[in-house]
Amino acid sequence: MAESVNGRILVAEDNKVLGDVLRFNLERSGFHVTLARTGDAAAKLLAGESYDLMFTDIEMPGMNGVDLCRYLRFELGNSDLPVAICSARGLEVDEQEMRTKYGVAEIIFKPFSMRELVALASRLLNSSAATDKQPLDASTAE
Amino acid sequence: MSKAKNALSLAYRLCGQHLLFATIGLLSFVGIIAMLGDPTARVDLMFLALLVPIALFLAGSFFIKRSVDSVSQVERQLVSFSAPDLSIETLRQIPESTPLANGWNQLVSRAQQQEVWNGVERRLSETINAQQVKRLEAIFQQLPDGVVLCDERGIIIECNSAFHNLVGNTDSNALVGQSLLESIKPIVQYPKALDALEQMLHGPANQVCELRLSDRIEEGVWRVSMKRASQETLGQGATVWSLRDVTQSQLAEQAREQFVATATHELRTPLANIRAYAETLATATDIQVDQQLDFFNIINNEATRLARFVDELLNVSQMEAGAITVQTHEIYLDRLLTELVEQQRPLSVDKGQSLELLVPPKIPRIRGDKDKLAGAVSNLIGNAIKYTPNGGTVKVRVEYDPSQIYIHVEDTGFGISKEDLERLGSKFYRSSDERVQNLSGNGLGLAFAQEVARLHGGRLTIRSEINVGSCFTLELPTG
Repeated sequence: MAESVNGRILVAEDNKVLGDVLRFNLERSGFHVTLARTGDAAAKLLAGESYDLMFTDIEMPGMNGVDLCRYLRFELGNSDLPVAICSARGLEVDEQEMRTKYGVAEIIFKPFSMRELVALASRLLNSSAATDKQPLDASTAE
Repeated sequence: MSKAKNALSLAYRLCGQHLLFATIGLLSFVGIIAMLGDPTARVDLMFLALLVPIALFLAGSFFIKRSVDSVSQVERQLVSFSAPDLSIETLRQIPESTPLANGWNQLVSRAQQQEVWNGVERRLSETINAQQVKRLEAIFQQLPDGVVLCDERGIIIECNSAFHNLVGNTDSNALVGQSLLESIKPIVQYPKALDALEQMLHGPANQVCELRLSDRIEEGVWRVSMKRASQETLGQGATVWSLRDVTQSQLAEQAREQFVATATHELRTPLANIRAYAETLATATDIQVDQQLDFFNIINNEATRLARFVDELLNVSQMEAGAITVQTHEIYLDRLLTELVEQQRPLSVDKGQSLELLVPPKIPRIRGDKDKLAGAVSNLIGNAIKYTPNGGTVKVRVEYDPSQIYIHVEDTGFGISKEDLERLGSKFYRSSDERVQNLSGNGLGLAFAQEVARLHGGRLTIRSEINVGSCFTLELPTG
């Protein structure tokens, strides 16, 4: 329970080596990290568990980052979970569409710095905690 | 000439002659009468005196007639020449030596000479023109681009053989009189393409468009230019079209784009990992030594991967430039293949595949570049493992006959579709099969293997059946 104080993060990253180092750095900063190696695995986790932040790669075999966002927002109907995506310059990803249609909060580009990533996670979790505070308090009061 | 110049004009000459003869006649008559004295006394002489002026008068008439003769001839000819269908050849010389006749004859002979030259010139230019028309027609037919002339409704007036080839019509007259849209309909599966042409037909005077014949580039892309004719000769509102098949260059462009995408991905992935691990090591000072070591190893591996990719890229670009060199050594193929198979075995074990090597005893020796051949075979084995699902089989099998050695790399993998087979081995090309796209790869491996085979005087052949498996065979000459 102590780990989840800082928030539960779902990381979807198909590159094992990168996924490991993302987990290592985020966990060191006190986040609770669940690592999904494929988009499909991430989708399964989203359906069953609840998270405070999702960080996903765009390029993944099978269900890619865009598919995952679509699944989260439209099939699961979850519009609250903050999402950050990691993309690559030169990929044909419509950033504007990702932000407006799928409610993606941040887009960072490979190769990105771990410090940048941790700062991003903290910022997104804090801002979502701030906005979520009211309804959360209300639900605990019930 | 001087004679003609000094001579009096015809009218004066006629007047003069007339007066001269009349005067002489009158004078001689008066003279004879005066000599006779009494005219009634000598009637016979009187009669004689009358004869002299009559004779002179006749002689005068004769001379005058001669003077006027050439004039009347000229007049006659001019009258007949005024009829519209008569040519200059009908004019005749006048066989006299009067100034008029001389002048007329000169005129006629010059005109006729001119006419002869004109004729020669006309015939000459006709021949030259015919030659030019023939040449232009030949050029028109030989043009590599399809060229079509349409009237204002888009009906084909003329088209060349390249256009016939484009639309797959062999009958050289069948297309004239048909509408341009109708003529290409048989090979255009894309309704949008026909719409685009229709719009061009009714659009501005100068247009260019790239026309895709279907939703797949492989099926054909044409570059179509249209110009509305401004010359009267081509007809009011006529359009001239030129159509070029740019499928190959479009495919090359597509491959290039795909390469840029895969190359940047191949470069970025290890780079992202190196950066992430290096930064982690630099900032997290409290990491266990074992873990630190793991991280350093990862950085090392990723850097190696990056270096290998750069090498492959260099190899391919050298092959392109024809700058790759082949060292020839004697190669012990069984030993080399064992090494290569064992190098790749961990990958196949990860995927639960069986990896077999079957080399017959006493295979003939070959000479070649060990590193390049190893690279080529390694690529083939690596591909086979990569594109074969878990639990499949990869076999490296050697066969030989007196002149050739065959290294088969067989798998029970995805297989390759017919369309992909044709383009496989062209640099950067990767199959559009989703299962292949989902795996990383740069589309350089096969191009390299193919080039290595070629440099050794052999070749790479591929047999494949979709969902059954593939067999890549490296054929190398022995000796």
